[in-house]
Amino acid sequence: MSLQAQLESYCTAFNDRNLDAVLSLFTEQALFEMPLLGQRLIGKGEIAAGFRRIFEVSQSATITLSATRESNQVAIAEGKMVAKLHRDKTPVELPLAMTLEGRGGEIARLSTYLDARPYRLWADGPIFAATNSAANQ
Amino acid sequence: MSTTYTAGTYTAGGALRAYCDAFERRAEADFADLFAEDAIFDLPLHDGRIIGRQGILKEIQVALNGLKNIRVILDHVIESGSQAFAEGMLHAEHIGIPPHVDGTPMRLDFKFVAIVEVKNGKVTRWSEYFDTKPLKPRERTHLYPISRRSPYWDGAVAAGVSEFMVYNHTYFPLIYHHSPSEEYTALTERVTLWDVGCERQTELRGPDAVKFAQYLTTRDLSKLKAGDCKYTLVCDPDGRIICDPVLLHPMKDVIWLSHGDADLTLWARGIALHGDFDVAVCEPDVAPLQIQGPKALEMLRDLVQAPLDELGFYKCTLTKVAGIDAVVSRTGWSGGLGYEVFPLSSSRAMELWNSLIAAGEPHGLMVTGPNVFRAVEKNVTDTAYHSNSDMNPYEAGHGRLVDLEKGDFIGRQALQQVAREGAKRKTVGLLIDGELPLLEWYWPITDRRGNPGEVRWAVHSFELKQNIAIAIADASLEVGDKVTIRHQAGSSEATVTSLPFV
Repeated sequence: MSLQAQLESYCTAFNDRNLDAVLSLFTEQALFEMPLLGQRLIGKGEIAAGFRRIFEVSQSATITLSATRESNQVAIAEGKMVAKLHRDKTPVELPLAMTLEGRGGEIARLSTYLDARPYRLWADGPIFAATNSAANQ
Repeated sequence: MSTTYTAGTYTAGGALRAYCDAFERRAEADFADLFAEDAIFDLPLHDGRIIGRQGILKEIQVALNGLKNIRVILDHVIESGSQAFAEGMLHAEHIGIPPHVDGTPMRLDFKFVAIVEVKNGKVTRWSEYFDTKPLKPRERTHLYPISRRSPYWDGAVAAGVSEFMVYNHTYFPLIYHHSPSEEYTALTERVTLWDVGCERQTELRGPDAVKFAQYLTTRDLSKLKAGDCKYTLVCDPDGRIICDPVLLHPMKDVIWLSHGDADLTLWARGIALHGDFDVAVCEPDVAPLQIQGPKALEMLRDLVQAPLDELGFYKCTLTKVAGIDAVVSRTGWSGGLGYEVFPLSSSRAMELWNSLIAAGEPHGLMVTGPNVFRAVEKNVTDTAYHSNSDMNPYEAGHGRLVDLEKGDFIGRQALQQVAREGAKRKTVGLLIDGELPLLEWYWPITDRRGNPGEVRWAVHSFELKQNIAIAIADASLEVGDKVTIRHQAGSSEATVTSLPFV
């Protein structure tokens, strides 16, 4: 499977909230980087926990890629993610890029680039607001 | 990294490398030739994209003003026709965000993806993707219920506040998600909105309001008229500064002392209780906002009922702002054009805030805290400069604010003695060589005299492009003298200079 095809398979599985299908794409010791999770996840165990968390807190999350380019080592794509957390009243659209490195037909590294500011709780996110949606969940 | 190219004829990959190369060298001029006139520029830092070459160049200039020791490493570059996709890493040190307490630099390191499109040899689109969290290295302030919140709290939160200080027992939003360089540019070139609801008023109301203010403060108020403001001082009986309020006389028989971090209302109530004044003292429900910057007048003109163009420096007027009763004064803490809006009640505070945000949008309004970088450059200090120092007005450089001949006032006798004998200390500026750690307590300065003073404020000057400080020092120090600043990370050499810096 080409790197671009792997990336598209990942987006399909993610959008379907199909944890098993997502995990089947990664190598055992894959690296997954996603700012929303706050840290790098290494290995299928950590990656599974990360996706469970994403699917648990979100009502919906959809990645759409608008362009992908690949070399022998890596695929780089840009697009957007539209996510609605249970706590939020409306979905948030985040511009996004992803980089994928493969090994043996599986994902060895998937790095997601987006500004997680709308979801950050401890730095400058909306946790302070007395009237924010978090208070109404 | 280095690259060669022919000006104006970039491939996508060449443009990408040329940009990163110029960014690493902080070579502002090298960007001039890179972008098409109608180029678009997407950065996570902005809510919308920047369109047009001039705006992009300005954005890059501001970014470079806030960074040093930059390294850009491109790990993967995929070039495909008129496009290039790249993944890389930026390493830099912040300018304006002070280093850690031990002096180690405040670093900015993050991975990014950049996507570039070129047409006719020029960049027509530059899009970057990264998480902005590394740009704000300190976590937000821990909050405690005992401190009060400004009525604009929700507005400051929505604007991305991350750090507060406690000021007049109230949370004071100081740091937002923009870099110091961006905020400095907004203040000096556009307009900024500050939530200074913590800037409390001590209200003196009654037939003796002016008479009582005359006794409480150091300047002569005998010619004060409704609509006047005065920067003045409140001293204790030993002549030490308690605070340096802006006095407003918004209407007959009412004085507001708009004060810094001091329990001035308690002090004034205590004095009033035992004095022979027909006056009531309270802290009214008046939470000001500051609108500061060269476009402040343009922004406010249509929102304020009174003719703002006619409002002179240090004058105030009772009017309506966005239909809300308020006092507007031409005062502020920026050392430049600016206004303060004092709504007469906080019941419609967020309505006022939102109206100001909307009015400011066409003028590039940025919500920020007070800009200490500009304040130090302009020698606009506040109560925090005088606190914990036994400082009298002459030492603070405020001798012009003391009218010893006006009649009795608190501290007069002690200040007469200081005036007679001469102040033992004075306030000076320091131009500093090299880096400084985070200032959390006052740093001693040393020279051949021994220990002639202490640094009380220190910042990076974006205008002078070096670190500067304000110090209280022995009166014998002269402009041009060399001193050594002793701080927790070692020492720095400095030269005494006059104030303001710019």
